[in-house]
Amino acid sequence: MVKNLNEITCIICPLACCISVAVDDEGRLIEVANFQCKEGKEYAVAEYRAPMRVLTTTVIVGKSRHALVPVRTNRVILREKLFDCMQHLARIKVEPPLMVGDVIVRNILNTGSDIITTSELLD
Amino acid sequence: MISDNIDVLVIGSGPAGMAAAIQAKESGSDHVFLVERAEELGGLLSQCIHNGFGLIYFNEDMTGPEYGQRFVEKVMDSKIEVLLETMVLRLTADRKVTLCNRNGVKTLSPKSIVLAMGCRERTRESIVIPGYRPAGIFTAGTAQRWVNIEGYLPGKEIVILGSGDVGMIMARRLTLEGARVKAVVEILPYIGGLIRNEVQCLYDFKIPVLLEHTVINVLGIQRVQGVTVARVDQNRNPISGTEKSIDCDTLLLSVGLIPENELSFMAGVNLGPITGGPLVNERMETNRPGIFAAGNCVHVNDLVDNVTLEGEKAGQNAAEHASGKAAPKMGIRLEAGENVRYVIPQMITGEREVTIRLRVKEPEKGVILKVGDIMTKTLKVVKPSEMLNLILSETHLNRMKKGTTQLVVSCQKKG
Amino acid sequence: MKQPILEADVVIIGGGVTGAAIARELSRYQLGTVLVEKRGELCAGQTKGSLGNIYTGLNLVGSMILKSVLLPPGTPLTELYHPHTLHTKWCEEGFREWEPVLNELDIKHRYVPLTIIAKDEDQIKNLEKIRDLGRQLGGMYADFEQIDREEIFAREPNVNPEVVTALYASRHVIDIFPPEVAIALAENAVQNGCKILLNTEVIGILQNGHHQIVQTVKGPIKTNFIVNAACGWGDKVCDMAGGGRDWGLQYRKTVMIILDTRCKGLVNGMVRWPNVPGRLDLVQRREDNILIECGTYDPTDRPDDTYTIREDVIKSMAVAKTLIPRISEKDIINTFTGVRVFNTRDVEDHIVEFHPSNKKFLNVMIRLPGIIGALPMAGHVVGMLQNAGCKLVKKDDFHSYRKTIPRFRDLSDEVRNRLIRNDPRYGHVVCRCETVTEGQIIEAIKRGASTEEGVRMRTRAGMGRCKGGFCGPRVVKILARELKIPVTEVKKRSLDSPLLLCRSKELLLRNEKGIA
Repeated sequence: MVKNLNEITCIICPLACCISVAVDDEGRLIEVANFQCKEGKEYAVAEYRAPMRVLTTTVIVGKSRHALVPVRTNRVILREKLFDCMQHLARIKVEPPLMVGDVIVRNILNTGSDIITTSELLD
Repeated sequence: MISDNIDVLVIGSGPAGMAAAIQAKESGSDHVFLVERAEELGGLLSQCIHNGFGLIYFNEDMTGPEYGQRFVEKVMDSKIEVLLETMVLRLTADRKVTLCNRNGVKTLSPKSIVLAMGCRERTRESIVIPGYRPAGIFTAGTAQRWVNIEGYLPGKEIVILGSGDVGMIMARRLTLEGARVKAVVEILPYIGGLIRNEVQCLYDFKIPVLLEHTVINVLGIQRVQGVTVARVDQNRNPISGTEKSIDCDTLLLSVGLIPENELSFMAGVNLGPITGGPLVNERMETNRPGIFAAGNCVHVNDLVDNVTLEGEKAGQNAAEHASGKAAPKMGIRLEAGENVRYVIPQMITGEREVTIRLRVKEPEKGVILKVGDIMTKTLKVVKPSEMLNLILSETHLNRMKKGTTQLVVSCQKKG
Repeated sequence: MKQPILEADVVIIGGGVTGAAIARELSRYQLGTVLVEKRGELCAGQTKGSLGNIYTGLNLVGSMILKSVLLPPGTPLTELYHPHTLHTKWCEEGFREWEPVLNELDIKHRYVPLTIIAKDEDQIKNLEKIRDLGRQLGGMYADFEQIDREEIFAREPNVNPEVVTALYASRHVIDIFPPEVAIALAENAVQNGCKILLNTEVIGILQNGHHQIVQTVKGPIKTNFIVNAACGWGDKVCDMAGGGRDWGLQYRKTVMIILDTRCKGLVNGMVRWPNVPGRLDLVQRREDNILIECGTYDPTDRPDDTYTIREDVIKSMAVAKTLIPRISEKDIINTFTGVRVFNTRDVEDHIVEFHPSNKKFLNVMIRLPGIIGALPMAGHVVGMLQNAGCKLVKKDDFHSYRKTIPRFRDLSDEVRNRLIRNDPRYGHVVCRCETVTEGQIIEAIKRGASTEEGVRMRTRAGMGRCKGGFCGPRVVKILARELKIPVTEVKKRSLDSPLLLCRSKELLLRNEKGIA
């Protein structure tokens, strides 16, 4: 049985264990090694399977004395989708007034996450 | 409306300043002023649009603006007098503050002051990178302001010197905005910031990291055209023959933060040579009675949550001072010992529970932290980029021998 | 040939202190004067990188003594004094002329004491030579005292503790900021009718009957006389008017270091080791900062080789510490390199002469020091133009006074409040380190600053320890707003020094469309 070894740096605590996740050719988990805690093991498997990230960026604001409003995804999304989301958001413009948490894009690119503002913009 | 009966005046409205002002109000001060040189409250939080804030204080993973907003709302609800685009021109040892804004220059005499000016970034000039003086060299924080607030990119092909968190965050930010970050150059053999950032800012985007390297030259006369990097030896000197050029139009510097203490200096506040900030006691008070300090102007913090807690302590004690409450005597001096870069605070009463915070000099695995011979704590790993908290309880403090005036805080490798 | 964009009586080529001084002098007369500058800002060349003090007396004696190694034994030291040279004449006259003019032009200046110290035998020997020559020359050259250790430490407490003796002169060194001097002269010239064109490189000189044509990147300028004050580029400009030049120009670079204002207590005036050929070793107060020039004059083949070499900075700091031990690298806030231009033909002196084949093309090639003698130089130049046929009729309405942009940092609170009541933008402090207000920045732009460097030279915004970390974005936005240009068009200095390369999202939008 072929063992494909993948190294994942754990970010849960400062130990930063280099956890190895071994899978077979069909992608079935064979073994996880080198971890020091349960959380680390879970993180490494999830990170190997599908790295998820929060996207934080800005969106252009029109009719305002501000140039931009900061935004974020309200859930983690697949790392692979980060650039597509950036492209999508580059084409959007919003206008004040904006409150923290206003939804600018619902379920962006079918990721299951909304894009919400993280700052208040009254003018 | 400026009154002359000010209890607490806070200089700087970043997380430390806002926390101090809010806490001063909550501790009973009637008139609290919050003075800010920029156009809005929040300090650098508004430009730190990434997440990772508030994990401790709010138990939520927030972005800088979200974290800041919680405090801005409290400030606005608390009848704190906010003065924006107002610069403090002078501060005296006896707490006379001279403010300047579009309404004029005025000197006030608050009963207490909290210094919360934050820090500035180390510049290309002060680390003497050879070359001409082309446009295109930015400190990472200033670049962050351009990208996240003003809406402009410093360049399209970037090299970043320094792998602290600000540098790594900007590596990701610029990459997401479509620029190409060609390298992060770090003089030490390890990344300067959090592992989380190493993974999510550099590794995720396959940004090349050159450890044990430094920039030895900037190419370009009017605009950056490239940099020359070289490997360094154990003394951090460039090794001849290892030079290589990287084409780029922008050099970002993330080479250190310096607590901003011009006002503290003016007021004769004692500054620590290692921290660069005011020496403070457990009440966050400086050597000048009634002048307190908190946040990055005292020492460069790692988590904003800790800055908030420091600010609250300073604000509370500033309020107590303003109300005339007597200050306890500070009997014990804390000294930085083996592998400890500095300790905050530097003076404690030695009679009541106190949280002390410290930073180590070198990374190490398997260590014992010691406070004199009254307390020990073992840790699996320590890093300079992550501050450590130690709670000295009354039980610990009672172990001190009579006549002790000093405790040495050290970090020793286990056996 | 294209229509001239301008017609003038005199065109001055070069916007450093030399060109500016000549412009001001010419603006006393009913003449059309145009100054053209290649770069986007005045003092873009040697003036910006000069040490720049205005001095005479003991400090001049120090530089005279350098040639003493060439004197045959037994020759009196006074042979080193060459009062007939333009260089020496203009230094002597220049200092006197500057004193009232510094006030007329509202240029910030401060008399600083000069202390030449000595601690070992060689230095003491050199010191004594300087002392002896000064005393023999008499007059202001003898206006100094030799002082002992106690007196040295009373006046400059932080000098090398091993110092044995020193020469002390208190009245003959004036600390100024060189760009301010050049800009003040230029502003006064403009006040009096001179035209200044920036970003206007000269690309050719043509004679056309009674007139000449100065060909520039902006178009031709028709003129009667041309004054070549392009210093480092003076040879190239002169060659445009035809060959036959024998100046043998040499360029030498030297590094200068600025320390944080926190260090200003370390030195009260100028402290130096006795002069040695080929180098300068001094530490001085420059306004509220410390300025260090401790190093050799290294040959380079370009007048714009302002490349700073790290090793030179390290060496310079090491020597500076021998003068003032408490100096430290951690206080460095700026380093820069200046190029000084020398000629090998009249090594001691400036070259001010008409072009061999063009009697209306005057070359004004000034070697260092250029600022001290600028006023008599300008007078001399105007005299030469007159002798060459330039009609000089004095203006009745020449304004010799020029007001500076208010220096908010130096003003009392009452004066500040008056300023702010009149214009609230003077209450908006933009540069924290140097206390510079929005009002000042707008005034600088009104007076011709169109770049970050232009604002910086006129107001000091960005010159402090954070080097524009806080004020930088705000200054750029004010420039964009006042000049009505996009932020991406704001330059650091010249046209090819843009600061921000693109707007947010621009690269993302481009990438999708497949455009690199």
